[in-house]
Amino acid sequence: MNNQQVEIVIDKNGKATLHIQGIKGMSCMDITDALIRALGVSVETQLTPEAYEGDDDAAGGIEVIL
Amino acid sequence: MSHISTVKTTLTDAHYIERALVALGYAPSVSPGQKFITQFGDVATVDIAFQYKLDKPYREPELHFVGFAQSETGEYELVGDFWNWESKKDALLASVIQQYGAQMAIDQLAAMGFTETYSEIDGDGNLRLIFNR
Repeated sequence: MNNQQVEIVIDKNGKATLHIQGIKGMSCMDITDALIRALGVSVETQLTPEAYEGDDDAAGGIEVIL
Repeated sequence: MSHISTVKTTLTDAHYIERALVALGYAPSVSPGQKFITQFGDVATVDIAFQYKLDKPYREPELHFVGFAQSETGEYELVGDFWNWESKKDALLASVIQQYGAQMAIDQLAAMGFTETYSEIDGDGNLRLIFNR
């Protein structure tokens, strides 16, 4: 399995930016949904091209502005 | 005249406020309805209390009791006497809000098998966390 990475940057106002790498498809969406629920904020989602691909271990992901 | 001020926040979970304060190096006391006395003798009622060390140039640091109290709508408010340290109060609250989100994310990602591998405050004051599995 490739290294799967989640990067979260939280600014001084509590606004969070999420960047997921190495996870494609629905697995990526599951992680995103869980974090959005936990952080309890509205979300603007921008899917990167890789997010639309099938589930495998290649690099790819999703960027989310919480 | 009371010097006590309250600052609204969107924080709603006492457990994660406590976790955030511990992560920032404070020793919070969690007890709903507890009271503390401010620097000018006012009595404040909060649910989570802690002592903030206010550094002073050429003098001993001042210790100020501050805390969080839950409002009727469920959000917690920062409560304290912030006279003469308003700007540092804003920085304190910002750091608590950042850590509150971070602690929630740590729990969620741990449940999915991720481990926190890197943490820093960057030059702009943003908290950056990296998790891997």
